Amino acid sequence: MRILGVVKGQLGAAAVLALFLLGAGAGGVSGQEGLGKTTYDKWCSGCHGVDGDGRGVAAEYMLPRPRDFTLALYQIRTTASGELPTDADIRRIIDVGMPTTTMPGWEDLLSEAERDALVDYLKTFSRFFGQGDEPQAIDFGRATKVSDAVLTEGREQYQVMECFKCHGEFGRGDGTSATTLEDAGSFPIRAADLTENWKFNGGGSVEDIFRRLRTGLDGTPMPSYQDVVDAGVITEEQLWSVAHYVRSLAPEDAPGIDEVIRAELIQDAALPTTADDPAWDEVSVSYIPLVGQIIVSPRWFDPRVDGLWVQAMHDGQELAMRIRWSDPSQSPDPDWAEWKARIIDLMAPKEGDPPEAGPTPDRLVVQFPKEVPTGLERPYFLMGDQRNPVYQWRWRSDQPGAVEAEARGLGTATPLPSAEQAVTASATFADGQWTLMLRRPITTESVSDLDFTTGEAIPVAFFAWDGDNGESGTRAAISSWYFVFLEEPTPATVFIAPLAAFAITGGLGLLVVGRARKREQEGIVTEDETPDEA
Amino acid sequence: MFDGIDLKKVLAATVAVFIATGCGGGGDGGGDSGGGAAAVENPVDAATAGNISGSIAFEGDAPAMQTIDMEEEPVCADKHASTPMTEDVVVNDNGTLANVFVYVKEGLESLQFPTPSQPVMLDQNGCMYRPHVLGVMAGQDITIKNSDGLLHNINASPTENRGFNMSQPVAMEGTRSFRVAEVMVPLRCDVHGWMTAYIGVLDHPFHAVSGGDDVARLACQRTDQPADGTLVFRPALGLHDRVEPCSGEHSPGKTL
Ligand code: HEC
Ligand code: HEC
Repeated sequence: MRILGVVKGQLGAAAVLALFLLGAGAGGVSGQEGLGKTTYDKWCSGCHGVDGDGRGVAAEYMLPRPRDFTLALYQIRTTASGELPTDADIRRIIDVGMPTTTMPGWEDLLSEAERDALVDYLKTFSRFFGQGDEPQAIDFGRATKVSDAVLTEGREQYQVMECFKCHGEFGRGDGTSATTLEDAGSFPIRAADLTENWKFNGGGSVEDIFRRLRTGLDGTPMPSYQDVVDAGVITEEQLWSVAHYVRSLAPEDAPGIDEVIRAELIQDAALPTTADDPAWDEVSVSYIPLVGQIIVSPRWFDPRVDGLWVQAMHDGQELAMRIRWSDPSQSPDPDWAEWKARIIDLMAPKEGDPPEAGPTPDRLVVQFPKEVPTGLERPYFLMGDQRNPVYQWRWRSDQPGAVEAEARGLGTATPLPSAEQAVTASATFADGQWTLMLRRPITTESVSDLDFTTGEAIPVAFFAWDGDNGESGTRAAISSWYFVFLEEPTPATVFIAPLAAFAITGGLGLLVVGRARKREQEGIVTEDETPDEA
Repeated sequence: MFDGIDLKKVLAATVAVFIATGCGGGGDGGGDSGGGAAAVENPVDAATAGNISGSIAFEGDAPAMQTIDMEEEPVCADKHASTPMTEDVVVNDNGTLANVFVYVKEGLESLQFPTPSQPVMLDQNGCMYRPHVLGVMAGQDITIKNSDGLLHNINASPTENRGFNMSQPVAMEGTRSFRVAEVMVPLRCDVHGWMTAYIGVLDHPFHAVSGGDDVARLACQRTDQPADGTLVFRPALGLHDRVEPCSGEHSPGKTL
């Protein structure tokens, strides 16, 4: 039962809302109406509204808000800025969805005929369709070959084009203009984190990126760079170089789910003492996806931190863990105060206590059970409960160090006695990224904490808050249970069966990454849109 | 910010339109875009056409505009002799209100006017749009210029027309137009959140924007019919209709 609870708890906002809507939209659809309308009313209207105005019953729990189809503003197009999308453009988004948003992909749920009918039906919401000529896809040509010189050129043009004003120096959405960006509905919108190409709405390939640069993302601040090419300021080839450079900011492949974070055994050297120690570059990295906490009230539908890159090492005496994540500001940052106020205004007042008053820091929590469990039984992942408490390392950006604590449910953490505090922290913030190192002796005198053991999979979970995004308390980004595995001093023995771990944790991470992978494999760029190949 | 203003009061008490000239050539369209209106496709009868010109007087306390922090953009900051201010409500020293878009709203439906071949210019200078309010004819080219040499994006969000979002990272120009009449089309620079402009798009050339002095001129077509001149304040003050008969009987200085 508990396991089921956990798995459910991990479903992301999108999935839960989709389930919710499944029920909500089912009634009152007349069989005589067209397939497009029937399908739309059932599956889409809960978010997009029966009239297509983006005001479905669930809409106000979302940022970005569901699209208002009456304006016919479509982000992902093969047509010029301001032009209508082609049918194929609309169909593609219906198929694959928009990863950073609640917009799900419908490929697996709806038939081909239903999805085609939806395209036609969506168009009926706006009088712009059917006026004038059919929208024509642009001939985007072919991608140039990538090389170091191309990447250097791309980086240079990224500067000349001043992409950093919104996206930040290294693309993490931390540009100086990022704090005031609004979408067409005057809702705050984030500049995309360019280091996470698997979450781009229009796909993460070089071709996809190039298309977005040429067409812009209508209804968002992301402009089209077509005029810049037309005016001869930048050549098309240089724009391809920018696309290659942007692609290079993200990892080669979308991160897989590593259910197990491997803590490598360091035998001949000292453990790193800082978060920036180059020794960290030598050990493997696991990606831990986070989702909004939408189980306990007040829930949080707009988490900023959507994933952590986690590494670990130990030397038989101490365990060191390094966690990196994108966050556009070092909270509390006055430049983001207005952003924070707007997000709270939009997302927070719906339920529960008001958010923490005053400036709020960024926070990170690493959570373990209080004992290495013998079976599959673990405390409730949302910070335990009365009977099964959890043990935590708690860090916040406005205080030095970190604190060990025990928690019996969300928002109940109590620090361990100061004599028993043994965890140390070193954190740096640069270019929209936190790098945090936490270290603790593997075993301690304290009875309230966890004594780590080698050669065993030890459950671990994570929580993150972006203070400048209005996050505090239960308004957090959360993970499910993962495992950390401290390598044995002796030749490595049996590694935890990955399948078992998979079976236990399951969850949203898999959905997200699975979806990203699928997009990658199938290629959101399809053959028929590359006219020069024909 | 300006919610406190009683719009009715502002209007009733303060908006004045002078009927300055008698009936004259209808082709003298006034406004920035009027240039080519002499060659009408569906001629205006000069004998019955008239001109309206006027100024918009602002009475009461002008709301304080906000200072713009241009620290991030020293190039722009340096272009301003004094601290730049937002332009939602600009009251001139002589008490007239600038940036009011005045146009003939009704009465021209049966007439057709050629699209001026001359583009109108919208400049981005000192991280401000120049002008802040602009009138064009549908189909008329708008040259959008970046005089700052740093990144601006021009994000137009009309509802009757299709919008666009153009990037101009260096000193350069681009051209756009709007297909159908729409009053007003908002423009915004997302890089510099304070930069906004408004374009009034009409299917005739009879429109004007009140300026730094006091004159707003527009022509009306028929002296025997009211020309429904509409005063369009920037959204801070909302849109307001004023119907003013276009006959020679009005004496200058008439307060509406
Ligand atoms: C759980 C809420 C939700 C449901 C259900 C949903 N959508 Fe969406 N949809 C969104 C959101 C949110 C966006 C806007 C995302 C953004 O702006 O980045 C969106 C955007 C879109 C877009 C815009 C694509 C573009 O290029 O800009 C299309 C098309 C779309 N949805 C179609 C559908 C259809 C068809 C259905 C039903 C089969 C559907 N959606 C169901 C939330 C939803
Ligand atoms: C005025 C601000 C602004 C500027 C300038 C800007 N962007 Fe963006 N960009 C955005 C925003 C906002 C989004 C996110 C849109 C969304 O979430 O729907 C975005 C999204 C993107 C995406 C993701 C597209 C997708 O499919 O989701 C890429 C890639 C990107 N921008 C690259 C660039 C590059 C490269 C430049 C410079 C050549 C640039 N941007 C300039 C604001 C900007």
